[in-house]
Amino acid sequence: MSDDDQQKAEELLQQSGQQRRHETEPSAPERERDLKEAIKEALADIESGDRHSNVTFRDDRYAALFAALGETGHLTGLSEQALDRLDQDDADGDLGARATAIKLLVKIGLEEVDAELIETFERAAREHVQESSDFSL
Amino acid sequence: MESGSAIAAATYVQKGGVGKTTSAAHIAVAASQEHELNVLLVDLAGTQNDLATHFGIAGEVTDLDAPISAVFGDQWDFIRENIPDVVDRMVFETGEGPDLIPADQGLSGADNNLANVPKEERYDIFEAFLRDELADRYDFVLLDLPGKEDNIAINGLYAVENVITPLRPGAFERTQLDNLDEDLDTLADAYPITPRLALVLPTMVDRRTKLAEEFIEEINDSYPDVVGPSIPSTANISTLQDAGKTLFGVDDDELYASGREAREAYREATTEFISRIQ
Repeated sequence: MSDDDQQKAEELLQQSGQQRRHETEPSAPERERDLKEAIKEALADIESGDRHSNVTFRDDRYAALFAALGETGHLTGLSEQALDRLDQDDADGDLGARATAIKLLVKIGLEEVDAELIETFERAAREHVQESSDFSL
Repeated sequence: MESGSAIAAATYVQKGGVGKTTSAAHIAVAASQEHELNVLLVDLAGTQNDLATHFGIAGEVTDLDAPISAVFGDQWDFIRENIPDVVDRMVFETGEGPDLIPADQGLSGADNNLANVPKEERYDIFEAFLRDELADRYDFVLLDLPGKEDNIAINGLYAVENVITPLRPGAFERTQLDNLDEDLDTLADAYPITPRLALVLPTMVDRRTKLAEEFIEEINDSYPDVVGPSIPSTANISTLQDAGKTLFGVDDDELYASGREAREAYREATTEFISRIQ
């Protein structure tokens, strides 16, 4: 064990902790842009007005379903069930509103399909808030 | 079950928000304090360092000079050979009994790099580290694994045989409950691993709700041999987590009744788990 080897080993050790997914040699499916960074960029775009803040899809049957749920007063109950399922206390919106119900249901769906994605999303949102406030200091 | 002389286990479930990291922290502390085991927690669950936060040492591990991600790299042997105290430098004291090897930012890159390692060499890297470096130092090594099927998680599952799976009411459908074992079997078919479901732990259980009652019934039906005591939902866990402690880190009078019950349940779960696998 020479001094040179020891120094080289220290350098390699430090580099290990600095490797990032987007800088490592990726396999083909993993060349996509880092999702968390993309979410943060999108959040910044929305705040600056460079991107729409609505999520839409066109489907006659679901449009009819949600119209009927609203007209018959079922949306609040649906939102409450969704909150229970998500173990959340509030929804940051009117529980009787179609947008609130759909937002909660989308979150449940994403958790079911890919819980990591929700974690990444929430992490990105937290970091975005943190970085925005750091920037404004 | 064993790597060298150490018991090796992992908290693993392909679902977020079920109390995986919290359960790892509490089981590790209970094993240390109640069973006088020399316990090491290894955080491979991502780059957020939630376990370090749980023990109030996140500030100490932000700029690691000996990251665990190095173990997964092709230069590890050279590093190990030339830095005799490299493993010591990875380890931090939690202040509640167990030691902790925290996660680091390099883990996601390490996971990516592992994809380029030939399959026959890809999954036994951490097992070798556990066997060569940790098994003689600790009685019980508990890995907190990523909640997904990535190369780091498979390395962890290769290194241990016992899997602890926390489940929260509402987060699982009945079919998913039934599929937990199948998930592990599927992984065992796809990879050279032999994970065994050793403890299923119902977490965040509010017994006042019908959902929780049904959930406990279902989980007992599905896993009668490995289900542990229910961990009651308690505000103490998140409050203490923010303060950098587990339920074991404070006196009785600092806990609600639910907090004391949760602590006792973790204590029982740990005793059950240890007696089951020894």
